[in-house]
Amino acid sequence: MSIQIDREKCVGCFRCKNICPGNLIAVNQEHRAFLKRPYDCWGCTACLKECPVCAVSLVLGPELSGMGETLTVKKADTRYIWEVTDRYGRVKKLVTDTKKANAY
Amino acid sequence: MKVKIIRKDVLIIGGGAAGCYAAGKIAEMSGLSILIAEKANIARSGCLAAGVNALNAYITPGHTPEDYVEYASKDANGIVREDLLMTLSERLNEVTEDLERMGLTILKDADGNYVSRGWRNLKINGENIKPLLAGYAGKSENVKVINHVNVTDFLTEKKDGKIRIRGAAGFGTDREVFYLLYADAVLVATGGASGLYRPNNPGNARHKMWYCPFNTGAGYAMGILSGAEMTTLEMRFIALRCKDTLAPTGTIAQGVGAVQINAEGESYEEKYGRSTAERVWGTVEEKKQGRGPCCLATKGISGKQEEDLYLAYLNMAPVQTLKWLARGKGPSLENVEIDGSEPYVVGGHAASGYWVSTDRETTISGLFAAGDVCGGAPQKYVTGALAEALIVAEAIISRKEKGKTKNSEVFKAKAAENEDNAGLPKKSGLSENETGLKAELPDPQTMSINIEETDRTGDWETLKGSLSDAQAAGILEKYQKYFSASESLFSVQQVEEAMQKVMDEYAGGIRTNYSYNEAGLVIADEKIQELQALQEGLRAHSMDELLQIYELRERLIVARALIAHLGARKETRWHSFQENSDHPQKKKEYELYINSRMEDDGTIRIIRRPLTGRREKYEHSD
Ligand SMILES: Cc1cc2nc3c(=O)[nH]c(=O)nc-3n(C[C@H](O)[C@H](O)[C@H](O)COP(=O)(O)OP(=O)(O)OC[C@H]3O[C@@H](n4cnc5c(N)ncnc54)[C@H](O)[C@@H]3O)c2cc1C
Ligand code: SF4
Ligand code: SF4
Repeated sequence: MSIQIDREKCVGCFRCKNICPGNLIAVNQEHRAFLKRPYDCWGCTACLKECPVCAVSLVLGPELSGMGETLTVKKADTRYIWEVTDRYGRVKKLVTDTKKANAY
Repeated sequence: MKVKIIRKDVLIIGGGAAGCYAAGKIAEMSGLSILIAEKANIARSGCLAAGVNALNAYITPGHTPEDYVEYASKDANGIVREDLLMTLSERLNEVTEDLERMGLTILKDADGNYVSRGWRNLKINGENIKPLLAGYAGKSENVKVINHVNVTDFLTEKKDGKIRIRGAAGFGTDREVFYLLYADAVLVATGGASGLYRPNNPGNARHKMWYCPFNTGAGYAMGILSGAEMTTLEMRFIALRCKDTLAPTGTIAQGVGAVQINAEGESYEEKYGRSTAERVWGTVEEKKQGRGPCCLATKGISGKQEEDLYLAYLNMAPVQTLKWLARGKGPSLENVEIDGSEPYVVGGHAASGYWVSTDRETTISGLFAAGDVCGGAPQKYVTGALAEALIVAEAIISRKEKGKTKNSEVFKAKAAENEDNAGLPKKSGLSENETGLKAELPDPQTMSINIEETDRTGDWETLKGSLSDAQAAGILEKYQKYFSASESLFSVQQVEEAMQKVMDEYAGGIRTNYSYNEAGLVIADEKIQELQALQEGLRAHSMDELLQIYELRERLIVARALIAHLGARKETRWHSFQENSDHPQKKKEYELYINSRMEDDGTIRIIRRPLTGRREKYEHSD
């Protein structure tokens, strides 16, 4: 289970580093964030939600019967816009709203 | 490097659900100054990082707190502190309303009543519950938060055979700063312990577990080392979860009414019973007898139901939604496989943790516990953790108010601590009088506000030498030892995996279907002590490595105490949670609490205590 950080997009703002509940992210000399120990990631998505430029994605590895599919998220007011890219490259968009209760 | 010394009226260790709420409550109800020391960042730290799916403990109309006590007690086969369950159940609805005031979205019907899931469960959107709680704590000027400080040890003193809290020590996770935090009222709220056993997904996804992998049992370990009494550690919690992702199953089971079925399509729950432990046990037994895998029967749910599940999971365990969509096969097309987790020690689901008075004071005087770290009251979940935080807040405030009358004593103690600062440059602009150091006794009212903060910079020897608090200097010396050790043969990860292997094989892990016996425990205890010796010899090159060494240290200490507890319950009280294969039946003579305390020589002494009644007010007497 792990996240991936897009080095091209990252602006080195430290937000992901500051939020990770496991203290797992660091920022290098070139002002790029990186995950120190991929095997220690919980997959909680706190860093995804925090990144201002959507540089972080969650990747499904083979241990969880994944084939590199990804999840990304973008915040818009009280809403989160999620995108899942499946193994066939298809993208599915889902929107959650913190003002709306779960159906279940 | 630097040593930072901070004094406040109240120190809160761990800014999770309980810690944040206690801080906000104390600030709201008093003028006391409060410090939260948090290992990560209170905005998303601990169990609540990804969000939660429901408020699992709430008293719906037509029910009473007694009903909740009854339910939780029965589910735990009678080994609960009914006084603790009772006092928290009475506050569940009050804290729920508070959560709503903070901005938590709770599902309501057309008449504005909460919509429940069963009789003790509310439907919410829990994605932002942690940022809301953090905001609540942070909004008061009297609350200071230090994020990214890992607390490792309590500062205590022994007087007339009684241990009293003085504060705690820790270090910055990303900076060379060591913290000495003083307060005469301390709340430990560091959550439970995961990662003791070999996890469901060893290797690259080892932290894809249900419980928070960063709650490493620090609070238990600090307490055990300081001689605090612990209770019921042997009642481990094993979560029945979605396989691989370890995402919660309640949303599926209760949400779309999916039942547990085995590979033959039979519903098997009735056969084993419906308590939390029995549901895990049933699934284990079905698999053992060749009828696995077991699933939640979701095949055939409607497209709308499936879509709603995707959204609900994004609000608490997004990986599950990713897993469903990744394969293009959602729960309407494929049943959701379920599995038991690695065993955790967690007092919010089971009853393991600090042995406390009804006020939640531990056996270390002045030290309180709330939430997952606190024992005796299972099924407390997030609202129960908040209810306990509220009880602690009230206890601390009333203690402080009473203290005012005999304040000279408190001041003398404070003045003694203050010696640490003698001879150091004063903060600019403060006269001696204002720092309260050598002045006459100040007004007790003003004394409580923000006593002071001091920074010292230098190398190890200068820093240690500048401390008159011998215990604090000793802790600093321990940190230093890890930096100056010779290169270790093994990595932290290697020793950690060895510990998990030992626990898995000899102390009732997944490998043995959670059951254990005494012969195995003897081996486990010996091996854990060997691993403790290896852990002591590890070398840190950075603060980050020091953090990992301490996380391992905490887990090893909890593992040792857990082994002693598992051995002391010579019966099987809860299937799977505590399955003693030497004694496969429940026994009348074990209707008692198994408690423990670490002696000065490092041995763990078992203490057996009789059950406490619901309306009793329990205070520590010995
Ligand atoms: C995945 C998951 C889902 C859950 N879902 C629900 C649900 O739907 N409904 C429900 O009612 N309950 C749910 N719970 C239970 C609920 O989250 C917990 O009962 C509650 O968070 C416990 O609060 P706590 O304050 O004891 O622990 P936490 O909230 O975990 O807080 C502990 C804090 O201590 C900090 N800490 C740890 N060690 C140290 C140290 N050495 N120094 C400083 N700080 C430290 C941690 O970083 C953390 O911030 C869920 C739990 C999990 C794990
Ligand atoms: S997903 Fe969570 S645990 Fe993993 S790096 Fe991001 S914030 Fe840290
Ligand atoms: S939050 Fe995003 S932009 Fe900021 S450091 Fe992290 S990855 Fe880079």
